[in-house]
Amino acid sequence: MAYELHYSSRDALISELKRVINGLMSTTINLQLAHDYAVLGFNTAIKLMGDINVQKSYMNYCQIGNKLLARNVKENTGVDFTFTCDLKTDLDNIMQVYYSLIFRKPKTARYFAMVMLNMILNAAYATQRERRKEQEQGQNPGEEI
Amino acid sequence: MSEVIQTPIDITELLTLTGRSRVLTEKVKRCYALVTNPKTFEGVAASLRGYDAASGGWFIPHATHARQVIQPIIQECVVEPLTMVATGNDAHSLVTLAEFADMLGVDVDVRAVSLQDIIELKLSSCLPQGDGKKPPAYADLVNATSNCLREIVTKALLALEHVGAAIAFTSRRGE
Repeated sequence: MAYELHYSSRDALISELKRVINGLMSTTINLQLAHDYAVLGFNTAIKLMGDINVQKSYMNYCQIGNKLLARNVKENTGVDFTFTCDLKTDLDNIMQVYYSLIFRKPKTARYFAMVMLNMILNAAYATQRERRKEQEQGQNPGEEI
Repeated sequence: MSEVIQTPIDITELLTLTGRSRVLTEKVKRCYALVTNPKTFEGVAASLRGYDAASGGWFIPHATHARQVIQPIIQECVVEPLTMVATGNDAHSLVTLAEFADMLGVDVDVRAVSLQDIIELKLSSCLPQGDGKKPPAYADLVNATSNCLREIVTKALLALEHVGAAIAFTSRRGE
């Protein structure tokens, strides 16, 4: 089941996710705050996850880049992460890995959350480009939720 | 627009800024002085020489004695201050404990263990246990005990500094 967010809602969520990732990047010492950012980031990602456009965009991005993304995650965190390229399943797995790390290796958890949320952000960015294309072609930019 | 202040912050200022109690501030200062003072470790070596003044007899020192010798310092410089900032089972407290455990190289999920467990696990890995019949050599035991104590207290102070830094930076930004 999926919905289609109005582009303004999606843009707001994209901005929020960007803010959270910037926050995560600035919390190398403050791991308590890093955890707060990660939790908020996951909430935002969950909302974006329901959007059909983000789901499609994520699938395209993941199908092309999953091996390199997995390598990036492995090299930086030591975590072997297998992407399914289904956003719902992957986000579920991402959160599962995060919560197995945060109370054990919080620095690794912080980095893992940052990389993974950035990947979802990249997928969401692509929907903005798609919308611009649709607007240029005079199509409906999306229904409001 | 908030102004970002770039001046360095020392530990005392950090703790003061965060509204930490004077007790904690003084404790941190005292503990830092303790682990940087060679006399502390001379005291550890003396306590492990094997003479029990109370009974007037000699004993062979091993890891259990080492634990007893450093226990008061660990209580004052690790358990008490960390308990003051990581007060319960909330996420922030657990993250602070996890950071402390991770810094010590103790691989545990802190949701399942206590601060005392983390310290015990670290002591078990850094104090020589001997081989059952034979106790560890005196010099080895003294060196290991000193290094172990220095590491545990230093990492605890570092974890405290991070907690203090976190709140200080936030308060300086006016948040």
